[in-house]
Amino acid sequence: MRGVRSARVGGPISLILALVFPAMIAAAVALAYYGFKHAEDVSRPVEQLFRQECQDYAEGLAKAVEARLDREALSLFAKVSEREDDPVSTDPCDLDPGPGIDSFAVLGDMRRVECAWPRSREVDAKRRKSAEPAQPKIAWLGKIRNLAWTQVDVDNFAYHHEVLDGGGSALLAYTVRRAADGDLYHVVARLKLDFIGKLWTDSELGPARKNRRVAVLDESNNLVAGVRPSGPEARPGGRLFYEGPFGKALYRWRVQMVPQNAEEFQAQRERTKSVRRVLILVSAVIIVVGLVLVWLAVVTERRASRMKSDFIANVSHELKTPLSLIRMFGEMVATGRHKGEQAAREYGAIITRESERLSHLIDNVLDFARLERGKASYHFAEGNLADVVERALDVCRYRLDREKMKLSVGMEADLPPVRMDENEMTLVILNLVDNAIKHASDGGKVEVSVARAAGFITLVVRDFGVGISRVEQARIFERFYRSQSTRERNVRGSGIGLALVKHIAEAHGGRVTVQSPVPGSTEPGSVFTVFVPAPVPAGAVSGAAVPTGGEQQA
Amino acid sequence: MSNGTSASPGAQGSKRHILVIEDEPDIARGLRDALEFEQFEVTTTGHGREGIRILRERGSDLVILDLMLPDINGFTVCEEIRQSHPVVPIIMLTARSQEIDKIRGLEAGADDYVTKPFSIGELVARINAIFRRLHRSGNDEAIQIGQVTFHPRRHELVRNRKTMALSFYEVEILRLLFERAGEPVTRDEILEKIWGVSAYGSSRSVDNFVVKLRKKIEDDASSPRHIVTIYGTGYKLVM
Repeated sequence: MRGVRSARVGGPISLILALVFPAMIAAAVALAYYGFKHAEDVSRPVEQLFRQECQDYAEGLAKAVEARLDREALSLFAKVSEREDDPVSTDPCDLDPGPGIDSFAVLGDMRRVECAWPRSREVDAKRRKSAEPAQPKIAWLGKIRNLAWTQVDVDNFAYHHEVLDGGGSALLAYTVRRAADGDLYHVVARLKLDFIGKLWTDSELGPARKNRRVAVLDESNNLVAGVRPSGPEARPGGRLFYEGPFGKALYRWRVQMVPQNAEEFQAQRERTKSVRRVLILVSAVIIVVGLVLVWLAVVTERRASRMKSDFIANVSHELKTPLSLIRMFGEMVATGRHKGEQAAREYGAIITRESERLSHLIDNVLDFARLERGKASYHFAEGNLADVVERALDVCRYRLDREKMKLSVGMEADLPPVRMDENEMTLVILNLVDNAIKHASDGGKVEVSVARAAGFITLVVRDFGVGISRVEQARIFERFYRSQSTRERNVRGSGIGLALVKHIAEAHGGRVTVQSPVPGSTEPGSVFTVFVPAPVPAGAVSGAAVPTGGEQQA
Repeated sequence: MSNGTSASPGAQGSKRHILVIEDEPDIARGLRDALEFEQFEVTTTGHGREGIRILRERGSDLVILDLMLPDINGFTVCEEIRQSHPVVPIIMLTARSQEIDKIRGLEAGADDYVTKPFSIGELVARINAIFRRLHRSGNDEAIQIGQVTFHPRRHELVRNRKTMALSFYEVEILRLLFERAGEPVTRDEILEKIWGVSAYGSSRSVDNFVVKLRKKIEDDASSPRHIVTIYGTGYKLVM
């Protein structure tokens, strides 16, 4: 059976940074925006705020209408100009002015009417008989007073909103243009207003109508669009009553607004303020938390970077020491720089031993690099952990003998099989025993046992060295970490052995722990316990090799 | 880890003595065997403080010093040795090979810097070259350079009645520049003639020793009048 487990270096930090930075930027923008709005809101009373909102909304409505009116007027002026500049055309009013134009007239240099639209049949008949242009008859033209022609620059246009004597109003758009021959001419058009009320659908007035009644009223107080304000607030001078002009073209019209429900409006304003306060608080908290996380991430990253540098230095030192020995003794044997056969044999043994050490180190580094890249493949199969431990210990015996360390092994009988990767599990044992040899050789012995625990088989490696401080117990399973005492005593090591053990234990669904001093023992030293999941019922636990309480778990 | 000392058996008075301060027992053993094979008397120790003590008590003709020691670091050991033994040649032996470490080692008073893994044959050749030069320097007379009197044999400079000690390589560089006084001497030539095996030194090592020499010889080391830099080439001694 096969399975693949992976781990990535720096993953959590990258994730934190990837999430934290956008969150911090969003929070900063939100904080600035809502902070500004809130500061503005709290300094103004609700009435003033309501009026400001209404004014903003009324301007928006008027602008939409004016844009449409502008299009109609400009389209007409362009058509008249075209005809004025056309040498073949004799009548500049002979055109289709567009759906928004009620009527228009073209006036000459001296603002005398040259032609008009629509024209009566009488006018057309006269025109056909005579070369002289006929005087058109537009009813409103005579009623219009005081068009501010002189204030309109050539090619610009202006609006004039006039209340007519006979009732109603006329919205005029007028412009001054220059003909191809250099003479000035004037165009004045009356725009149809009956379409304006149809411009707004419910959805266009919708945003305002959610909490307000909006009405557009003409000069005679007739409703053009919306719903006429009603209720106690709907009177000029009312606390929450807004009335203002309707834009710059139809300036004789007005817009009125009242809240649908004054109390509800006030409550909503308060709710909005509360929401903003919460948003400001949340944003500030996000920024502070983000900064703390970034700081932590930077600290972690720097620590990892420092540890990596140490690791490279250590590995480099670790590689160079055996290489130096191999090269030095190899050269001494090759050049005959030795005192005899016995010395040459000893040099050969050193070369062999150092080559093994070099291979072990390279294997460890490569295995670890593989795990770090997340490409470690575990080949799990059912097997007996005790057998694997026995085989691994055979490899260690030579080194233990050389260091004059006694090895005692305790294997519980009839252990159930476990799912494991034998090669990786061998690496676990080799590393734990290697550590005991390197760091606890003065203890003179190592005990290795395999036993049952509830749901697990435990592999226990016990040494009798100086032990590990509590502070260091918490860190020894970190990548590249080397304890202070290890560095002081110049013990060889790269700082990856225990990290590798931890990685492998976890990939098996288990864990590794360390205890120092060993509970229930008066002797010094440390005990490392690897828990490998196995179908062991709680009742079947011997307890002999199961550490209890106070352990540092990796 | 090697603790304590071990002198080669049958050491004779005529033999050169080498102190090896190296904590890796196998490297110390290899060095001892190889150097004893070359007829040197060797003392090894794995601790810096013990090395300093041995040098004070029995002296030595040359020190091979590892940089990473369990008690104090090699730079400190080097500085302490220089205080009591300004002349004894010191070869630093270490796994580190970064330029900054070399410069620091030379500043601490080391004469050479050898990185692991090294060739024992080359190391022995270097040691022999140092001893040959030490031997040759026995007949030299005092040399006047401006206001300074240089005594190659005594490894000393006398300036304004003040005597300053020179290390082995300082003496060798100054002697080479004096032999070619008035002529530019290239850095490569200095490396080749003084260090012998060019792989061990670097141009930076030469520069480093020149800086030290200028501090001792020149009135103002920042605008030297006696050891002049020839840009892109090397140095020239102006008497």
